[in-house]
Amino acid sequence: MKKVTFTKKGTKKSGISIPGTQPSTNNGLLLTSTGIPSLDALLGGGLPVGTVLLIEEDHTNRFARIVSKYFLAEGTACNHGIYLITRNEKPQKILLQLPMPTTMEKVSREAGSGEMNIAIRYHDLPKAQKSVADVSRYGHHFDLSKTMDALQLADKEVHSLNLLETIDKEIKDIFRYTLQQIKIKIDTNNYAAPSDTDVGNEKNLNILRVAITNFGSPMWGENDSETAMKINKFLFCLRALARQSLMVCCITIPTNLYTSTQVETFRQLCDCSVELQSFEGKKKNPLYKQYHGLLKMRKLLCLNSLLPYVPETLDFAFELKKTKFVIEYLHLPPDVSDTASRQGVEEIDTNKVSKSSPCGGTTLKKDLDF
Amino acid sequence: MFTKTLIKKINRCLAEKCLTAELWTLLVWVFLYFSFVHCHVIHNVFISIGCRVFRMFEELNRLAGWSAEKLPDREVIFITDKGCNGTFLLHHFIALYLKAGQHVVLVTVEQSFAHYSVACGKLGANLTKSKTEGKLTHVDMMKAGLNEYLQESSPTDQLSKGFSNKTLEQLNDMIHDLVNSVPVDKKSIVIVDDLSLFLSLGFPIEDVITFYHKMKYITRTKPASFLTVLHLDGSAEDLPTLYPNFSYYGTCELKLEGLESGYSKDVHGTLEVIQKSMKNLRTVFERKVRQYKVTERTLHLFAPGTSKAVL
Repeated sequence: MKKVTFTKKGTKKSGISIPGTQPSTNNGLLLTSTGIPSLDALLGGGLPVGTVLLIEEDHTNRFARIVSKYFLAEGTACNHGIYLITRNEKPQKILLQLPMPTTMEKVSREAGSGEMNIAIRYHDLPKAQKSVADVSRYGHHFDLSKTMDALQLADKEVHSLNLLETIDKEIKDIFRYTLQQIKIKIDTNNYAAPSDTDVGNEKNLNILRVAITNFGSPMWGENDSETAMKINKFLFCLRALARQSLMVCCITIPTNLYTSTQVETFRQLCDCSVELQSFEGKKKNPLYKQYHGLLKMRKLLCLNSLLPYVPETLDFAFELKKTKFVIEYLHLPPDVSDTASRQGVEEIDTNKVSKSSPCGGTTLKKDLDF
Repeated sequence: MFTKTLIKKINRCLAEKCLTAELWTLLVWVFLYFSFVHCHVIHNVFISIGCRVFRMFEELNRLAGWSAEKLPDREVIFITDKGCNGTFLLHHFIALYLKAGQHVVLVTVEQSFAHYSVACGKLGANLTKSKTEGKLTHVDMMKAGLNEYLQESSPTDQLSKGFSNKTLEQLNDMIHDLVNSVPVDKKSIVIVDDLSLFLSLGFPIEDVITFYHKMKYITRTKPASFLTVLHLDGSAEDLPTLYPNFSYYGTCELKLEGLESGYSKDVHGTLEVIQKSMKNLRTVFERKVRQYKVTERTLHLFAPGTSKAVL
C-alpha cells in the first residue's frame, strides 16, 4: 500500500508536484487547502492528501453546507477533480451554489496610533490576534455572495453521485455501493497514487476531492446501532482507500442524531474531526454577539508524527460575514460598558432589576462603581 | 601507582609545552588503562550517549526497567487510553526493538505503514531499511479490509479472504508462521495497531478475546512479546468486558489518561505503568504513576504535579 509521502532528502523521484498542493515541512505530507484559510491554519497548514475530515454538523446544517461548498470550490479553483455524493438532495443544487474565487485581498495591519488609549506598559505589545490566519499561503479566497455558474464549471473535472436515483434500484448496502463508486471513479481517472516504479506518468496526476453531505442522515438508514456499524465499516474502508490514492475527503455527519459513544467511534475512524455548534434558534450569550456559532476541534490531525499539530488555543468561534466564512479565536472582550459593575456581563439583568430598589436607586449604583 | 606516574608525565608535558606526539601517546595509554580497568564506566557512557543519539523514550525505559539489552521478554503489553491518544507509544517500541537488532511484526489496522515509517524515523529507526533486511514484517489489515468490502480479490493479498468471520484466525496463523520464521536467538515483538477497532467493525468480542489468548500462547512458546492498544472511548457495547480480559492475560499495562481538567499544553495526561509479576506464589502488581508530555521526538515523564510549567 502506498501513500504519497515527500521527503526533503533527495530520493530517486524528485517529488510529485500537483497544483494546489504544498508539501509540509516536517512531516513529509502533501497538504491541500480546505478553501477556508482559517480552517487550514487550525489543521496546521492544510488537509493532507489521503485523509478524511469529519465535520459534525450544526443542527440546521446551514454552516456545514457552507464548509462543503468551500471545499468543492477550492477544488475547482485548483483544477482538482471534485466528486460530490448526496442522498438528501440533488448534487446540482450544491454544485450551482459554489462561491466564486476572488483576487486576494490585501490585509492591512492597523498601525498603532499615537494616542494612548491604554496603559503605557501595554502600548508596545501587539494587539491580541483575533483572526487565525491573515494571509493564506496557497489557498484561494472566495466570495460567498457570488456563485459560479455552469459555464465556469464546464471545463473542470466535476463528478457527482446522486443517491436519490438509486432508491428505485434495490441496493442492499448503500454504503458499500457508494465506496465502490468512489473506487471506480479513482480507477478510471488519474487519481490513483503512483507506484514506486512508475515514474513516467507523473504529469497526469491529480487529486480527487470527495465531499459527502448529510452522511448518516435518516435517508441513509435508520439511526440505530446497525447503521452505526455500517458507517464504521464505511469510514474505515474510506480511510484505507484514501491512504492508497490521491484523495481528500470531507464528510459531514448530523451527529446530533447519534449517541455520544457512536459519535466518538466515528471520530476515531476519521483522521480529523471538527464540530460546529451554531447559535441559531437558541438564546445567544451577548458575549458572542458577532458570531454565529462555536467551532470545536474534536480530533486533532496526527499523521506521520508522534503528536498532532495543536493550535494556540482550542476555543474557536465562526462568523458568516456577507462574503466570507471566518473562524476566529474566542477572546472575551474587556468589560467596558457604562453600567459595568464588578460582577460582569451575566449579571447585568440583576442590576437592572435592582434599579427600582427603594434605597438609592441608579445613581447610588454608579457611585459605588469604581 | 600507575595513575600517579601518568599524571606526573602529563603535567610535565604540559608544563614544558613539549611536542604533541608524546602527549598523544600518554593520552592513548590513559584511554587504554581506563578501557581495560574501568570498562563498565566507558560502556555506560557510550550507552547513555547512544540512547540520547537514538532519541528513544529513555524515561519510559527507566521507569519500566527496559533497555536495549533488557527488552521486554515474553511479555504481553497492552496500552489503554482514555481521553487521549496512546498510539505514540507504539513508535517507541518499534524503535526500541529495531535498534536492538531484534524482530518486529507490525500489524496495522489504524494507520498506514508510511505513517509509522516517518514517525519512527523521528526516533531514529529506519523502517523501510529494516523491512528489506527482513527484521520488520508488515501485515496490512487496512488493505485487506478494503478489498473485502469492495469484494475485489488481489493476488498480492496476504490474507486470502480479507475481512470475514475467519479473519482473526487467519491473522493468528500468519503471525504464528512469521514468529516461527524468526531466528532462534533473536527476540521478536508482535504489535497490533488497535485491537479495539475490530469491535467497532463488527467482530464479535469472543473472537477478539480468543485472538488475544492465542497471542499470549505465542509469548509462552517463543521468545516473543505482544503489544496492542485498546481505546477505552468507544461505542462497542462489549468494550467494558474487553478490558478485564486484557488485564487478566496481560503482564504489563501502560494506562494513559487525559487530564480531568481538560487539555493542557504542558501536561498531556497521566501515564501509569502496571507490571504484573509472580513473587512467592502471589501475583504482585507494581504501579508507577507519572504525568507525561509528548514532544516531537521524545516523551517526558515527571511525578504528578511537578511539571516544569507548574514549578
